[in-house]
Amino acid sequence: MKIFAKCLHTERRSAGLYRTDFLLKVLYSMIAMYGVRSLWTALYAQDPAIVGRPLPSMITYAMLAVALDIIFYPSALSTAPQNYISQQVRTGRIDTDLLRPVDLQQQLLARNGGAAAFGALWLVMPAWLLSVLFLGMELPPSLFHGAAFLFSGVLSFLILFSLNFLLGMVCFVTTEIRQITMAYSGILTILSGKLIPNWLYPEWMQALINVLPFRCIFETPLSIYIGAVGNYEILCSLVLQAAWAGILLLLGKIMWLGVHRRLAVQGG
Amino acid sequence: MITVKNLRKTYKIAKPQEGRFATLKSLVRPRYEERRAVDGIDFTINDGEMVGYIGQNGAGKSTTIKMLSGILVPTAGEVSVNGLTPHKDRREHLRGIGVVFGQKTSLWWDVPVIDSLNILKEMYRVDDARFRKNLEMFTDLLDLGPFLEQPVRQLSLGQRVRADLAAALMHDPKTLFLDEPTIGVDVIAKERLREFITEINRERGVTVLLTTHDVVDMEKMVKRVIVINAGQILYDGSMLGLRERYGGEDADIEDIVREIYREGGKTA
Ligand SMILES: Nc1ncnc2c1ncn2[C@@H]1O[C@H](COP(=O)(O)OP(=O)(O)O)[C@@H](O)[C@H]1O
Ligand SMILES: [Mg+2]
Repeated sequence: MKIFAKCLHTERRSAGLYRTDFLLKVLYSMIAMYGVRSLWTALYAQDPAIVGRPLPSMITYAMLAVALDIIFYPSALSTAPQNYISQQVRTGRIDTDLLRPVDLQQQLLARNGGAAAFGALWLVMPAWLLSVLFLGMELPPSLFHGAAFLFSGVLSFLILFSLNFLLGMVCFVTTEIRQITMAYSGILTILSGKLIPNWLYPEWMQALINVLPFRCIFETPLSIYIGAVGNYEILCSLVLQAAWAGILLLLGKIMWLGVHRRLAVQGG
Repeated sequence: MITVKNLRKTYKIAKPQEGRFATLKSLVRPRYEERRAVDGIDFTINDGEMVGYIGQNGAGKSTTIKMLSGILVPTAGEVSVNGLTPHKDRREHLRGIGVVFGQKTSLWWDVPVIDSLNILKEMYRVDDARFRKNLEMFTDLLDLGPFLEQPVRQLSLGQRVRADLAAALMHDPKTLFLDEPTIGVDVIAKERLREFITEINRERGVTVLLTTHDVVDMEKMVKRVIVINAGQILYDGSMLGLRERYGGEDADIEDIVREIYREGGKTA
Protein backbone atom coordinates (compact mmCIF):
# COMPACT_ATOMS: atom_id res chain seq x y z
CA MET A 1 0.00 0.00 0.00
CA LYS A 2 2.80 2.38 0.84
CA ILE A 3 4.59 1.39 -2.34
CA PHE A 4 1.41 2.32 -4.16
CA ALA A 5 1.38 5.75 -2.51
CA LYS A 6 5.03 6.30 -3.43
CA CYS A 7 4.29 5.38 -7.03
CA LEU A 8 1.36 7.75 -7.17
CA HIS A 9 3.70 10.44 -5.89
CA THR A 10 6.32 9.49 -8.49
CA GLU A 11 3.80 9.81 -11.29
CA ARG A 12 2.67 13.17 -10.03
CA ARG A 13 6.22 14.42 -9.91
CA SER A 14 7.00 13.22 -13.39
CA ALA A 15 3.80 14.81 -14.68
CA GLY A 16 5.17 18.04 -13.25
CA LEU A 17 8.44 17.44 -15.07
CA TYR A 18 6.76 16.79 -18.39
CA ARG A 19 4.01 19.35 -18.18
CA THR A 20 3.38 19.77 -21.91
CA ASP A 21 2.99 16.05 -22.36
CA PHE A 22 0.47 16.04 -19.57
CA LEU A 23 -1.54 18.96 -20.97
CA LEU A 24 -1.52 17.35 -24.42
CA LYS A 25 -3.07 14.23 -22.95
CA VAL A 26 -5.96 16.20 -21.47
CA LEU A 27 -6.37 18.04 -24.75
CA TYR A 28 -6.25 14.80 -26.69
CA SER A 29 -8.95 13.26 -24.54
CA MET A 30 -11.16 16.31 -25.03
CA ILE A 31 -10.80 16.02 -28.80
CA ALA A 32 -11.45 12.28 -28.73
CA MET A 33 -14.50 12.86 -26.55
CA TYR A 34 -15.79 15.44 -28.97
CA GLY A 35 -15.20 12.94 -31.78
CA VAL A 36 -17.23 10.10 -30.26
CA ARG A 37 -19.91 12.58 -29.31
CA SER A 38 -20.30 13.68 -32.93
CA LEU A 39 -20.27 10.11 -34.13
CA TRP A 40 -23.08 8.94 -31.89
CA THR A 41 -25.06 12.11 -32.51
CA ALA A 42 -24.88 11.45 -36.25
CA LEU A 43 -25.87 7.81 -35.81
CA TYR A 44 -28.75 8.81 -33.61
CA ALA A 45 -29.99 11.33 -36.16
CA GLN A 46 -30.09 8.56 -38.75
CA ASP A 47 -32.05 6.13 -36.65
CA PRO A 48 -32.49 6.26 -32.87
CA ALA A 49 -33.21 2.53 -32.89
CA ILE A 50 -29.59 1.78 -33.85
CA VAL A 51 -28.38 3.34 -30.64
CA GLY A 52 -30.98 1.79 -28.41
CA ARG A 53 -30.55 4.38 -25.65
CA PRO A 54 -31.46 8.01 -25.23
CA LEU A 55 -28.82 10.13 -26.95
CA PRO A 56 -27.47 11.91 -23.83
CA SER A 57 -26.89 8.55 -22.12
CA MET A 58 -25.15 7.15 -25.14
CA ILE A 59 -22.91 10.19 -25.48
CA THR A 60 -22.06 10.01 -21.81
CA TYR A 61 -21.20 6.33 -22.13
CA ALA A 62 -18.93 6.90 -25.13
CA MET A 63 -17.17 9.95 -23.71
CA LEU A 64 -16.53 8.32 -20.37
CA ALA A 65 -15.11 5.31 -22.22
CA VAL A 66 -12.60 7.63 -23.86
CA ALA A 67 -11.68 9.10 -20.48
CA LEU A 68 -11.21 5.70 -18.86
CA ASP A 69 -9.15 4.57 -21.80
CA ILE A 70 -6.51 7.16 -20.93
CA ILE A 71 -5.70 5.31 -17.74
CA PHE A 72 -6.40 1.82 -19.03
CA TYR A 73 -4.73 1.98 -22.41
CA PRO A 74 -2.17 -0.83 -22.14
CA SER A 75 0.81 0.42 -24.12
CA ALA A 76 0.71 3.92 -22.68
CA LEU A 77 2.48 3.11 -19.46
CA SER A 78 5.90 1.72 -18.74
CA THR A 79 4.42 0.39 -15.52
CA ALA A 80 1.87 -1.73 -17.39
CA PRO A 81 2.89 -5.27 -16.42
CA GLN A 82 3.21 -6.69 -19.92
CA ASN A 83 5.38 -3.78 -21.05
CA TYR A 84 7.58 -3.92 -18.01
CA ILE A 85 8.01 -7.69 -18.09
CA SER A 86 8.81 -7.84 -21.78
CA GLN A 87 11.38 -5.08 -21.34
CA GLN A 88 13.02 -6.85 -18.40
CA VAL A 89 13.08 -10.19 -20.19
CA ARG A 90 14.47 -8.69 -23.39
CA THR A 91 17.27 -6.85 -21.60
CA GLY A 92 18.03 -9.70 -19.20
CA ARG A 93 17.28 -7.48 -16.22
CA ILE A 94 14.55 -9.81 -14.94
CA ASP A 95 17.21 -11.22 -12.57
CA THR A 96 17.19 -7.97 -10.70
CA ASP A 97 13.43 -8.15 -10.11
CA LEU A 98 14.02 -11.38 -8.25
CA LEU A 99 16.30 -9.52 -5.84
CA ARG A 100 13.39 -7.63 -4.28
CA PRO A 101 11.76 -8.88 -1.09
CA VAL A 102 8.38 -8.19 -2.69
CA ASP A 103 6.66 -10.53 -5.13
CA LEU A 104 6.76 -9.35 -8.77
CA GLN A 105 2.98 -9.31 -9.11
CA GLN A 106 2.63 -7.14 -6.01
CA GLN A 107 5.45 -4.84 -7.12
CA LEU A 108 3.76 -4.29 -10.44
CA LEU A 109 0.30 -3.94 -8.97
CA ALA A 110 1.56 -1.18 -6.71
CA ARG A 111 3.44 0.61 -9.46
CA ASN A 112 0.79 0.25 -12.14
CA GLY A 113 -1.91 1.07 -9.60
CA GLY A 114 -0.05 4.23 -8.62
CA ALA A 115 0.14 5.29 -12.25
CA ALA A 116 -3.54 4.52 -12.82
CA ALA A 117 -4.60 6.39 -9.70
CA PHE A 118 -2.62 9.35 -10.90
CA GLY A 119 -4.32 9.10 -14.29
CA ALA A 120 -7.71 8.95 -12.61
CA LEU A 121 -7.10 11.99 -10.44
CA TRP A 122 -5.17 14.22 -12.76
CA LEU A 123 -6.26 13.25 -16.26
CA VAL A 124 -9.71 11.75 -16.04
CA MET A 125 -11.08 14.12 -13.42
CA PRO A 126 -10.26 17.27 -15.39
CA ALA A 127 -11.44 15.69 -18.64
CA TRP A 128 -14.65 14.61 -16.95
CA LEU A 129 -15.25 18.02 -15.43
CA LEU A 130 -14.67 19.80 -18.73
CA SER A 131 -16.95 17.43 -20.57
CA VAL A 132 -19.71 17.91 -18.00
CA LEU A 133 -19.39 21.65 -18.45
CA PHE A 134 -19.02 21.83 -22.20
CA LEU A 135 -19.88 18.56 -23.92
CA GLY A 136 -23.09 17.57 -22.26
CA MET A 137 -21.74 14.68 -20.18
CA GLU A 138 -24.48 13.61 -17.75
CA LEU A 139 -24.03 13.05 -14.06
CA PRO A 140 -24.83 9.60 -12.64
CA PRO A 141 -28.53 9.29 -11.73
CA SER A 142 -27.87 8.94 -8.01
CA LEU A 143 -25.14 9.11 -5.43
CA PHE A 144 -25.35 5.33 -5.15
CA HIS A 145 -24.71 4.95 -8.87
CA GLY A 146 -21.75 7.33 -8.63
CA ALA A 147 -20.20 5.45 -5.73
CA ALA A 148 -20.85 2.09 -7.39
CA PHE A 149 -19.21 3.40 -10.55
CA LEU A 150 -16.03 4.34 -8.66
CA PHE A 151 -15.91 0.98 -6.93
CA SER A 152 -16.54 -0.80 -10.20
CA GLY A 153 -13.78 1.22 -11.84
CA VAL A 154 -11.27 -0.02 -9.28
CA LEU A 155 -12.33 -3.60 -9.97
CA SER A 156 -12.05 -2.91 -13.71
CA PHE A 157 -8.49 -1.84 -13.17
CA LEU A 158 -7.72 -5.02 -11.22
CA ILE A 159 -9.18 -7.19 -13.98
CA LEU A 160 -7.29 -5.36 -16.69
CA PHE A 161 -4.11 -5.49 -14.62
CA SER A 162 -4.35 -9.24 -14.16
CA LEU A 163 -5.06 -9.86 -17.83
CA ASN A 164 -2.04 -7.71 -18.69
CA PHE A 165 0.05 -9.56 -16.16
CA LEU A 166 -0.98 -12.87 -17.72
CA LEU A 167 0.02 -11.45 -21.09
CA GLY A 168 3.38 -10.57 -19.51
CA MET A 169 3.81 -14.19 -18.45
CA VAL A 170 3.62 -15.13 -22.12
CA CYS A 171 6.93 -13.27 -22.58
CA PHE A 172 8.69 -16.07 -20.76
CA VAL A 173 7.42 -18.61 -23.26
CA THR A 174 7.90 -16.62 -26.44
CA THR A 175 10.15 -13.60 -26.24
CA GLU A 176 8.25 -12.00 -29.10
CA ILE A 177 4.81 -10.87 -27.94
CA ARG A 178 3.98 -8.11 -30.37
CA GLN A 179 1.54 -10.16 -32.40
CA ILE A 180 -0.14 -11.62 -29.37
CA THR A 181 -0.42 -8.13 -27.92
CA MET A 182 -2.07 -6.90 -31.09
CA ALA A 183 -4.63 -9.70 -31.03
CA TYR A 184 -5.20 -9.02 -27.35
CA SER A 185 -5.76 -5.30 -27.89
CA GLY A 186 -8.21 -6.12 -30.66
CA ILE A 187 -10.18 -8.43 -28.41
CA LEU A 188 -10.20 -5.83 -25.66
CA THR A 189 -11.42 -3.12 -28.00
CA ILE A 190 -14.25 -5.20 -29.38
CA LEU A 191 -15.39 -7.19 -26.37
CA SER A 192 -14.85 -4.79 -23.47
CA GLY A 193 -17.59 -2.37 -24.46
CA LYS A 194 -15.08 0.40 -24.97
CA LEU A 195 -16.18 1.28 -28.50
CA ILE A 196 -19.46 -0.54 -28.88
CA PRO A 197 -21.72 -1.24 -25.93
CA ASN A 198 -22.74 -4.87 -25.68
CA TRP A 199 -26.44 -4.22 -26.10
CA LEU A 200 -25.74 -3.35 -29.73
CA TYR A 201 -24.34 -6.78 -30.56
CA PRO A 202 -26.47 -9.67 -31.86
CA GLU A 203 -27.74 -11.96 -29.18
CA TRP A 204 -25.35 -14.85 -29.70
CA MET A 205 -22.46 -12.48 -29.30
CA GLN A 206 -23.88 -10.99 -26.14
CA ALA A 207 -24.12 -14.51 -24.76
CA LEU A 208 -20.45 -15.06 -25.54
CA ILE A 209 -19.39 -11.71 -24.12
CA ASN A 210 -21.29 -12.36 -20.93
CA VAL A 211 -19.18 -15.35 -20.03
CA LEU A 212 -15.87 -13.57 -20.74
CA PRO A 213 -14.17 -11.17 -18.33
CA PHE A 214 -13.56 -8.40 -20.87
CA ARG A 215 -16.92 -6.70 -20.57
CA CYS A 216 -16.27 -6.12 -16.89
CA ILE A 217 -13.52 -3.68 -17.84
CA PHE A 218 -15.52 -0.99 -19.61
CA GLU A 219 -19.13 -2.00 -19.97
CA THR A 220 -19.83 -2.74 -16.33
CA PRO A 221 -18.68 0.57 -14.83
CA LEU A 222 -20.03 2.63 -17.72
CA SER A 223 -23.48 1.03 -17.61
CA ILE A 224 -23.60 1.72 -13.91
CA TYR A 225 -22.65 5.35 -14.48
CA ILE A 226 -25.41 6.00 -17.04
CA GLY A 227 -27.97 4.21 -14.90
CA ALA A 228 -28.65 1.49 -17.45
CA VAL A 229 -28.80 -1.11 -14.69
CA GLY A 230 -30.89 -1.26 -11.54
CA ASN A 231 -29.64 -1.49 -7.98
CA TYR A 232 -29.89 -5.23 -7.71
CA GLU A 233 -28.07 -5.74 -11.02
CA ILE A 234 -25.37 -3.35 -9.89
CA LEU A 235 -24.65 -5.50 -6.87
CA CYS A 236 -24.59 -8.61 -9.04
CA SER A 237 -22.18 -7.12 -11.53
CA LEU A 238 -19.88 -5.88 -8.77
CA VAL A 239 -19.76 -9.36 -7.33
CA LEU A 240 -19.04 -10.76 -10.78
CA GLN A 241 -16.25 -8.25 -11.28
CA ALA A 242 -14.75 -9.06 -7.90
CA ALA A 243 -14.88 -12.76 -8.73
CA TRP A 244 -13.12 -12.23 -12.06
CA ALA A 245 -10.50 -10.01 -10.44
CA GLY A 246 -9.85 -12.66 -7.79
CA ILE A 247 -9.65 -15.54 -10.25
CA LEU A 248 -7.39 -13.72 -12.69
CA LEU A 249 -5.06 -12.40 -10.00
CA LEU A 250 -4.76 -15.88 -8.59
CA LEU A 251 -4.12 -17.36 -12.02
CA GLY A 252 -1.38 -14.78 -12.58
CA LYS A 253 0.16 -15.62 -9.23
CA ILE A 254 0.19 -19.33 -10.01
CA MET A 255 1.76 -18.73 -13.42
CA TRP A 256 4.36 -16.45 -11.91
CA LEU A 257 5.26 -19.10 -9.32
CA GLY A 258 5.87 -21.53 -12.17
CA VAL A 259 7.92 -19.04 -14.15
CA HIS A 260 9.88 -18.04 -11.08
CA ARG A 261 10.73 -21.65 -10.29
CA ARG A 262 11.93 -22.14 -13.83
CA LEU A 263 14.04 -18.98 -13.71
CA ALA A 264 15.58 -20.05 -10.42
CA VAL A 265 16.58 -23.40 -11.87
CA GLN A 266 17.56 -22.48 -15.40
CA GLY A 267 18.87 -18.97 -14.86
CA GLY A 268 17.70 -15.83 -16.64
CA MET B 1 29.03 -15.26 7.70
CA ILE B 2 28.93 -16.97 4.35
CA THR B 3 29.56 -20.68 4.05
CA VAL B 4 29.51 -22.67 0.87
CA LYS B 5 29.98 -26.44 0.83
CA ASN B 6 30.48 -28.52 -2.27
CA LEU B 7 28.31 -26.07 -4.17
CA ARG B 8 27.34 -27.01 -7.74
CA LYS B 9 25.29 -25.51 -10.48
CA THR B 10 24.64 -27.31 -13.74
CA TYR B 11 22.73 -25.49 -16.45
CA LYS B 12 20.67 -27.41 -18.94
CA ILE B 13 21.01 -26.05 -22.41
CA ALA B 14 18.48 -27.10 -25.02
CA LYS B 15 20.33 -28.84 -27.84
CA PRO B 16 19.22 -28.07 -31.36
CA GLN B 17 18.07 -31.26 -33.04
CA GLU B 18 18.84 -32.36 -36.51
CA GLY B 19 17.05 -34.10 -39.31
CA ARG B 20 13.46 -33.92 -40.36
CA PHE B 21 10.87 -32.42 -38.04
CA ALA B 22 13.66 -30.95 -35.93
CA THR B 23 11.42 -28.26 -34.45
CA LEU B 24 8.71 -30.73 -33.62
CA LYS B 25 11.20 -33.11 -32.04
CA SER B 26 12.67 -30.40 -29.88
CA LEU B 27 9.17 -29.57 -28.65
CA VAL B 28 8.05 -33.10 -27.97
CA ARG B 29 11.21 -34.48 -26.48
CA PRO B 30 13.77 -31.74 -25.96
CA ARG B 31 17.35 -32.87 -25.56
CA TYR B 32 19.63 -31.10 -23.20
CA GLU B 33 23.28 -30.56 -22.89
CA GLU B 34 24.64 -30.02 -19.42
CA ARG B 35 27.01 -27.25 -18.54
CA ARG B 36 28.72 -27.30 -15.18
CA ALA B 37 29.04 -23.64 -14.31
CA VAL B 38 30.00 -24.17 -10.66
CA ASP B 39 31.54 -27.52 -9.97
CA GLY B 40 31.90 -28.20 -6.28
CA ILE B 41 33.28 -25.20 -4.45
CA ASP B 42 33.86 -24.60 -0.75
CA PHE B 43 34.67 -21.43 1.12
CA THR B 44 33.85 -19.49 4.24
CA ILE B 45 33.78 -15.73 4.51
CA ASN B 46 33.64 -14.18 7.96
CA ASP B 47 31.65 -11.13 8.97
CA GLY B 48 33.32 -7.89 8.01
CA GLU B 49 35.68 -9.45 5.47
CA MET B 50 36.14 -8.09 1.97
CA VAL B 51 36.99 -10.80 -0.54
CA GLY B 52 37.83 -10.60 -4.22
CA TYR B 53 36.38 -13.30 -6.43
CA ILE B 54 38.29 -13.58 -9.65
CA GLY B 55 38.40 -15.80 -12.69
CA GLN B 56 38.16 -15.72 -16.45
CA ASN B 57 34.96 -15.00 -18.31
CA GLY B 58 32.65 -17.96 -17.92
CA ALA B 59 34.51 -19.25 -14.86
CA GLY B 60 31.32 -19.29 -12.80
CA LYS B 61 31.57 -16.09 -10.79
CA SER B 62 28.14 -14.65 -11.60
CA THR B 63 26.54 -18.05 -11.13
CA THR B 64 28.03 -18.22 -7.63
CA ILE B 65 26.83 -14.71 -6.81
CA LYS B 66 23.33 -15.56 -8.03
CA MET B 67 23.20 -18.61 -5.80
CA LEU B 68 24.44 -16.60 -2.84
CA SER B 69 21.74 -14.01 -3.56
CA GLY B 70 19.03 -16.64 -3.64
CA ILE B 71 17.87 -15.99 -7.19
CA LEU B 72 19.35 -19.23 -8.47
CA VAL B 73 18.79 -22.63 -6.89
CA PRO B 74 21.95 -24.76 -6.55
CA THR B 75 22.02 -28.14 -8.25
CA ALA B 76 23.79 -29.59 -5.23
CA GLY B 77 25.68 -28.54 -2.14
CA GLU B 78 25.02 -26.14 0.68
CA VAL B 79 24.89 -22.37 0.92
CA SER B 80 24.38 -20.36 4.04
CA VAL B 81 24.45 -16.59 4.32
CA ASN B 82 23.97 -14.94 7.71
CA GLY B 83 22.49 -18.19 8.96
CA LEU B 84 19.89 -18.39 6.18
CA THR B 85 19.63 -20.58 3.10
CA PRO B 86 19.25 -18.00 0.33
CA HIS B 87 16.89 -19.80 -2.05
CA LYS B 88 14.74 -21.16 0.76
CA ASP B 89 14.42 -18.18 3.10
CA ARG B 90 14.30 -15.81 0.14
CA ARG B 91 12.49 -12.80 1.54
CA GLU B 92 14.24 -12.64 4.86
CA HIS B 93 17.56 -13.26 3.15
CA LEU B 94 16.99 -10.52 0.58
CA ARG B 95 16.35 -7.95 3.30
CA GLY B 96 19.80 -8.63 4.69
CA ILE B 97 21.86 -8.37 1.52
CA GLY B 98 22.63 -5.84 -1.20
CA VAL B 99 23.50 -6.86 -4.74
CA VAL B 100 24.94 -4.84 -7.60
CA PHE B 101 25.48 -6.19 -11.08
CA GLY B 102 27.85 -3.87 -12.93
CA GLN B 103 26.43 -5.12 -16.21
CA LYS B 104 22.80 -4.31 -15.50
CA THR B 105 20.94 -1.91 -13.31
CA SER B 106 18.43 -3.05 -10.74
CA LEU B 107 16.78 0.36 -10.68
CA TRP B 108 13.67 1.17 -12.67
CA TRP B 109 14.72 2.31 -16.08
CA ASP B 110 12.22 5.13 -16.62
CA VAL B 111 12.00 6.34 -13.06
CA PRO B 112 14.16 9.15 -11.57
CA VAL B 113 16.82 7.80 -9.20
CA ILE B 114 15.34 9.48 -6.15
CA ASP B 115 11.93 7.93 -6.85
CA SER B 116 13.49 4.50 -7.28
CA LEU B 117 15.15 4.93 -3.89
CA ASN B 118 11.84 6.01 -2.40
CA ILE B 119 10.04 2.95 -3.77
CA LEU B 120 12.82 0.69 -2.49
CA LYS B 121 12.49 2.34 0.91
CA GLU B 122 8.93 1.02 1.13
CA MET B 123 9.82 -2.40 -0.27
CA TYR B 124 12.50 -2.88 2.37
CA ARG B 125 10.49 -1.02 5.02
CA VAL B 126 13.28 1.39 5.88
CA ASP B 127 12.13 3.95 8.43
CA ASP B 128 12.21 7.65 7.57
CA ALA B 129 15.10 8.66 9.82
CA ARG B 130 17.38 5.90 8.63
CA PHE B 131 16.46 6.59 5.02
CA ARG B 132 17.21 10.27 5.35
CA LYS B 133 20.51 9.60 7.06
CA ASN B 134 21.62 7.07 4.44
CA LEU B 135 20.47 9.21 1.54
CA GLU B 136 22.44 12.14 2.89
CA MET B 137 25.54 10.07 3.41
CA PHE B 138 25.47 8.32 0.04
CA THR B 139 24.60 11.50 -1.83
CA ASP B 140 27.66 13.02 -0.25
CA LEU B 141 30.08 10.12 -0.68
CA LEU B 142 28.94 9.08 -4.15
CA ASP B 143 28.09 12.57 -5.35
CA LEU B 144 24.59 11.56 -6.40
CA GLY B 145 23.27 15.12 -6.20
CA PRO B 146 23.62 16.07 -9.86
CA PHE B 147 21.56 13.18 -11.18
CA LEU B 148 19.09 12.22 -8.43
CA GLU B 149 16.23 13.67 -10.47
CA GLN B 150 17.19 11.93 -13.70
CA PRO B 151 15.74 8.62 -14.85
CA VAL B 152 18.26 5.79 -14.94
CA ARG B 153 18.16 5.47 -18.71
CA GLN B 154 19.76 8.93 -18.99
CA LEU B 155 22.70 8.21 -16.68
CA SER B 156 26.28 7.52 -17.69
CA LEU B 157 27.64 4.14 -16.70
CA GLY B 158 29.61 5.55 -13.79
CA GLN B 159 26.60 7.45 -12.47
CA ARG B 160 24.42 4.38 -12.88
CA VAL B 161 26.72 2.14 -10.86
CA ARG B 162 26.89 4.76 -8.12
CA ALA B 163 23.10 4.97 -8.05
CA ASP B 164 22.89 1.18 -7.94
CA LEU B 165 25.36 1.02 -5.07
CA ALA B 166 23.38 3.55 -3.06
CA ALA B 167 20.19 1.59 -3.77
CA ALA B 168 21.80 -1.66 -2.66
CA LEU B 169 22.86 -0.13 0.65
CA MET B 170 19.77 1.89 1.56
CA HIS B 171 18.39 -0.86 3.80
CA ASP B 172 21.70 -1.34 5.67
CA PRO B 173 22.45 -4.87 4.49
CA LYS B 174 24.98 -6.92 6.42
CA THR B 175 26.38 -8.40 3.24
CA LEU B 176 27.12 -6.92 -0.15
CA PHE B 177 27.61 -8.87 -3.38
CA LEU B 178 29.19 -6.89 -6.19
CA ASP B 179 29.45 -8.50 -9.61
CA GLU B 180 31.97 -6.55 -11.68
CA PRO B 181 31.00 -3.17 -10.21
CA THR B 182 33.90 -1.35 -11.86
CA ILE B 183 33.49 -2.75 -15.36
CA GLY B 184 33.55 -0.07 -18.04
CA VAL B 185 33.87 2.75 -15.52
CA ASP B 186 36.52 5.43 -16.10
CA VAL B 187 39.63 5.70 -13.94
CA ILE B 188 38.47 8.56 -11.76
CA ALA B 189 35.04 7.09 -11.17
CA LYS B 190 36.66 3.72 -10.40
CA GLU B 191 38.84 5.38 -7.81
CA ARG B 192 35.79 6.86 -6.14
CA LEU B 193 33.90 3.54 -6.21
CA ARG B 194 36.86 1.80 -4.59
CA GLU B 195 37.08 4.37 -1.83
CA PHE B 196 33.38 4.12 -1.21
CA ILE B 197 33.27 0.33 -1.07
CA THR B 198 36.32 0.24 1.18
CA GLU B 199 34.75 2.77 3.50
CA ILE B 200 31.46 0.87 3.66
CA ASN B 201 33.37 -2.28 4.53
CA ARG B 202 35.55 -0.61 7.13
CA GLU B 203 33.12 1.81 8.78
CA ARG B 204 29.93 -0.18 8.65
CA GLY B 205 31.46 -3.62 8.86
CA VAL B 206 29.59 -4.80 5.78
CA THR B 207 30.85 -8.11 4.44
CA VAL B 208 31.76 -7.71 0.78
CA LEU B 209 32.26 -10.30 -1.95
CA LEU B 210 33.34 -8.64 -5.15
CA THR B 211 34.14 -9.96 -8.59
CA THR B 212 36.44 -8.03 -10.85
CA HIS B 213 38.88 -8.30 -13.72
CA ASP B 214 40.69 -5.19 -12.62
CA VAL B 215 43.99 -5.97 -10.93
CA VAL B 216 44.08 -2.52 -9.35
CA ASP B 217 40.76 -3.31 -7.66
CA MET B 218 42.36 -6.39 -6.16
CA GLU B 219 45.51 -4.65 -5.02
CA LYS B 220 43.77 -1.67 -3.52
CA MET B 221 40.67 -3.21 -2.06
CA VAL B 222 41.07 -6.77 -0.91
CA LYS B 223 43.39 -8.73 1.31
CA ARG B 224 41.91 -12.06 0.35
CA VAL B 225 41.13 -13.50 -3.05
CA ILE B 226 39.34 -16.59 -4.25
CA VAL B 227 40.34 -17.64 -7.76
CA ILE B 228 37.87 -19.76 -9.67
CA ASN B 229 38.39 -21.50 -12.97
CA ALA B 230 35.96 -23.67 -14.90
CA GLY B 231 33.73 -23.84 -11.83
CA GLN B 232 36.47 -24.94 -9.43
CA ILE B 233 38.53 -23.06 -6.92
CA LEU B 234 42.20 -22.71 -7.81
CA TYR B 235 43.33 -20.51 -4.97
CA ASP B 236 41.81 -19.17 -1.79
CA GLY B 237 44.01 -17.04 0.42
CA SER B 238 45.71 -13.73 0.95
CA MET B 239 46.93 -11.49 -1.83
CA LEU B 240 50.36 -11.81 -0.24
CA GLY B 241 50.23 -15.58 -0.46
CA LEU B 242 49.14 -15.32 -4.06
CA ARG B 243 52.29 -13.36 -4.86
CA GLU B 244 54.51 -15.75 -2.99
CA ARG B 245 53.01 -18.77 -4.62
CA TYR B 246 52.98 -17.50 -8.15
CA GLY B 247 55.85 -15.20 -8.78
CA GLY B 248 57.55 -13.63 -5.84
CA GLU B 249 57.10 -10.52 -3.82
CA ASP B 250 57.64 -7.90 -6.45
CA ALA B 251 55.92 -9.69 -9.31
CA ASP B 252 53.30 -7.80 -11.23
CA ILE B 253 49.78 -8.87 -10.23
CA GLU B 254 48.68 -8.82 -13.81
CA ASP B 255 51.39 -11.33 -14.71
CA ILE B 256 50.41 -13.49 -11.78
CA VAL B 257 46.77 -13.54 -12.79
CA ARG B 258 47.75 -14.39 -16.33
CA GLU B 259 49.92 -17.20 -15.04
CA ILE B 260 47.13 -18.66 -12.92
CA TYR B 261 44.63 -18.52 -15.74
CA ARG B 262 47.07 -20.30 -18.04
CA GLU B 263 47.74 -22.96 -15.50
CA GLY B 264 44.03 -23.41 -14.84
CA GLY B 265 43.44 -23.68 -18.56
CA LYS B 266 45.85 -26.61 -18.65
CA THR B 267 44.29 -28.58 -15.86
CA ALA B 268 40.68 -27.86 -16.83
N1 LIG C 1 21.33 -19.02 -17.74
C1 LIG C 1 22.30 -19.79 -18.23
N2 LIG C 1 21.99 -20.87 -19.00
C2 LIG C 1 22.97 -21.64 -19.49
N3 LIG C 1 24.28 -21.46 -19.28
C3 LIG C 1 24.67 -20.42 -18.52
C4 LIG C 1 23.70 -19.53 -17.96
N4 LIG C 1 24.36 -18.57 -17.25
C5 LIG C 1 25.68 -18.87 -17.37
N5 LIG C 1 25.87 -19.97 -18.13
C6 LIG C 1 27.17 -20.61 -18.43
O1 LIG C 1 27.78 -20.94 -17.22
C7 LIG C 1 29.17 -20.67 -17.24
C8 LIG C 1 29.54 -19.70 -16.12
O2 LIG C 1 28.95 -18.44 -16.38
P1 LIG C 1 29.07 -17.20 -15.38
O3 LIG C 1 28.76 -17.65 -14.01
O4 LIG C 1 28.26 -16.11 -15.94
O5 LIG C 1 30.63 -16.84 -15.49
P2 LIG C 1 31.43 -15.52 -15.08
O6 LIG C 1 30.50 -14.62 -14.34
O7 LIG C 1 32.56 -16.00 -14.26
O8 LIG C 1 31.91 -14.90 -16.34
C9 LIG C 1 29.47 -20.13 -18.63
O9 LIG C 1 29.92 -21.20 -19.41
C10 LIG C 1 28.13 -19.67 -19.13
O10 LIG C 1 28.04 -19.80 -20.52
MG1 LIG D 1 29.87 -12.69 -14.81
